[in-house]
Amino acid sequence: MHLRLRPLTVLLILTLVLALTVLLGIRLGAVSLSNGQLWDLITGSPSKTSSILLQIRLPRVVLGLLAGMSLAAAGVVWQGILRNPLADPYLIGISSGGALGAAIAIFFGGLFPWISSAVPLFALLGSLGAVALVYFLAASGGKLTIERLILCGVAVSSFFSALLSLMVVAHSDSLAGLYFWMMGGLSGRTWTDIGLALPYQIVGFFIVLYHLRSLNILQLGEEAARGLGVSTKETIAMLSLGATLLAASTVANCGMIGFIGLVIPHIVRRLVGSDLRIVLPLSAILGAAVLVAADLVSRTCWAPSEIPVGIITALLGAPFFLYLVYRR
Amino acid sequence: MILEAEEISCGYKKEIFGNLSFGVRPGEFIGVIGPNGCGKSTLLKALYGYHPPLKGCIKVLGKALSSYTGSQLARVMAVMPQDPPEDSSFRAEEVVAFARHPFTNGLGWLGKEDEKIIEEAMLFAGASGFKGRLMSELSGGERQRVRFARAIAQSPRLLLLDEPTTHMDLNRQLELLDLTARICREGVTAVAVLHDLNQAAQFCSRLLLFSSQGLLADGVPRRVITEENLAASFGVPVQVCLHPQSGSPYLLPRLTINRRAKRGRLHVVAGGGSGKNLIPELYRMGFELSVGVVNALDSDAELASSLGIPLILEAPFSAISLENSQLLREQIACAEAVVVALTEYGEGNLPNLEALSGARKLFFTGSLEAIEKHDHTGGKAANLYAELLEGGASFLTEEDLFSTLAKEHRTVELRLFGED
Repeated sequence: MHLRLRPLTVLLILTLVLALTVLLGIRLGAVSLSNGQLWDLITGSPSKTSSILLQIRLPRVVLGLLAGMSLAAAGVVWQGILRNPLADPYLIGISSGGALGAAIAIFFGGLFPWISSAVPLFALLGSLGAVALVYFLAASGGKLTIERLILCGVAVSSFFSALLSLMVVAHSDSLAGLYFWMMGGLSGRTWTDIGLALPYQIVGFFIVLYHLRSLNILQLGEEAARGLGVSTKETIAMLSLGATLLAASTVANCGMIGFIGLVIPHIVRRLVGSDLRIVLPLSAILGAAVLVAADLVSRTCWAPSEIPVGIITALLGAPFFLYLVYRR
Repeated sequence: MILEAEEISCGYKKEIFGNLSFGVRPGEFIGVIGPNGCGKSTLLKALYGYHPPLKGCIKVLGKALSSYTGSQLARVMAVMPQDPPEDSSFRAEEVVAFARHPFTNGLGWLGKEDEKIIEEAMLFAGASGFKGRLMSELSGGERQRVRFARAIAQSPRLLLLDEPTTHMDLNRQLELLDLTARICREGVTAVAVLHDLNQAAQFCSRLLLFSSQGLLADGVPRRVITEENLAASFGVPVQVCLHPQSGSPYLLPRLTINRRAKRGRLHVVAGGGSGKNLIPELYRMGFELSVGVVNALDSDAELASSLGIPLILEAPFSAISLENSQLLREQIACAEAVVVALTEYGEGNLPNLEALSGARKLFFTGSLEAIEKHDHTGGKAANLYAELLEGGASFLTEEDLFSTLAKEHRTVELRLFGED
């Protein structure tokens, strides 16, 4: 199923799809707006609906865009570095570290109310801390290799998960909110939260794009890439830093949204081939569109109740992933 | 010098080899050979900066390797690493196109000139036919050709190859080495880690032979491929011969023939290659052999002496002397049987037939009709054959001869391990 469409065609289609999902994402919800109403709101004076739009609907769509882009791009990076199609952005401790950070914030939020509003910050610190620990462990006592990185990531993840379970067992009532956080969702986030994560996402994207050409060459293997003039160690270190920033800042605001980082790069590869200079930007666009669409489903299909978007992406992503595997 | 190594030591945690110095002149095709684990690939990785040496300095075009940026180096030097991790979701031409990366700017999109170079490199490496096919659809040897094309498309002045012929069929191996030798004659310099010593000796202009202690020999193939060097490096006895066409050395492993049994004494009369099956098989069967009279440098004489079989030798191109004739009679008298291989007879070796009357048992290979064709003495040899046949000798094919001898000469003593 290697379609190998022309990249420009795919870019055009995906951009249209993204524009459409964004438009729907803004219009639909508990209070649905027609195109006309939307136009009035953009051009007209402030009103109650316009504040819904600006303070609730719009941040949510923007958050979805950023999260989808970041996760898909981080997925492309990890799959490229590890040359392993099963790699995803959460591979080296980002999710468990973030969850532990969030749990700490939620737990102490009961005691010190200001902390409960800082869940994203704590999750971000948890993620970055976990990745730093993984890197430290992988690099000490030997050469930093991809294998060591993965193994240390698995070990640290398990350890943090165990700590998390311990906290949940001991204080299940005060950690009820954690469960929703872990399933991943875009609800209730404000412009402030977006602003908190945005600098990391911008830096992450900048790093990744700067090294995109080298990432593409790395797919030939480290030795061949070196022979083609890529300084492999520095490139791998910088790319993994960039991907970590992207994923960690997303986890901080949205919890653990699965399958976007794993499945989207695969779909795009099938469409346009393996040139990551093309795959990465297209994945970012498709990731954004899919996440905004999934969020739309999660908040409209069972309205007024809402299910975490991570459940939707997993429900749709897992079967689709299997389909891709079997079509091979 | 296009490439210099100055007292380099290479290794990972532990040093694999130390104090290695050599210089490479433009146009040389250097083969790096030696047993597994002696640091051949490590040396190559050091030469392109993937795994810098622990000590010492490597210079490319007179400038320290460490002072090059990756792209600068890649514009001078192309590398074909050993069996890289799979790049299977690319098409063949996409893999080759990566070669132009060091020559492009920005995101690395290709120009018309690059496309042309890629095209030519694929044609040169015999990989044009793989265009449009995914790497995963190609066989191991075909993928190697694509990677070779990639190295060529980098328009290198210096080409580093790590076991480039792995997975290839014989014809493709020879082709790749021949292509490499050809571009070296045009001024490109190549350093290749090679496994096949005969191919290395045939195609390379210079060899670096490593042993587990480091560099053992450095020079033209005929200086490096010697029995002493190879025994020291690989720890196996080999016989070095010269290729009949190119004159380059090639080697054969010396066999340690397992002689299962020990049988009686046999004398073999052969010459001119007529003993090439007979002598090794009788030797393997465990007979205590002697061979002669043969001329020195005769292939049967060389064969027997390489097996350590006692010989009665005559000077090259000389008739059998009276003295050797006498020696032969004595040898025949103490042999339990004599085997005469079908060979050419002239006046010079007629004494071999004349001495046979004293044999206790006599076997001929071939047939009486065949003898007439091989008799260049005007019938004297054929007459001698006829007389000996009347005296109880018999004609046998080689197979029958082996089974007859095996039956008649039971093993004297069974050995668990072959001697020698």
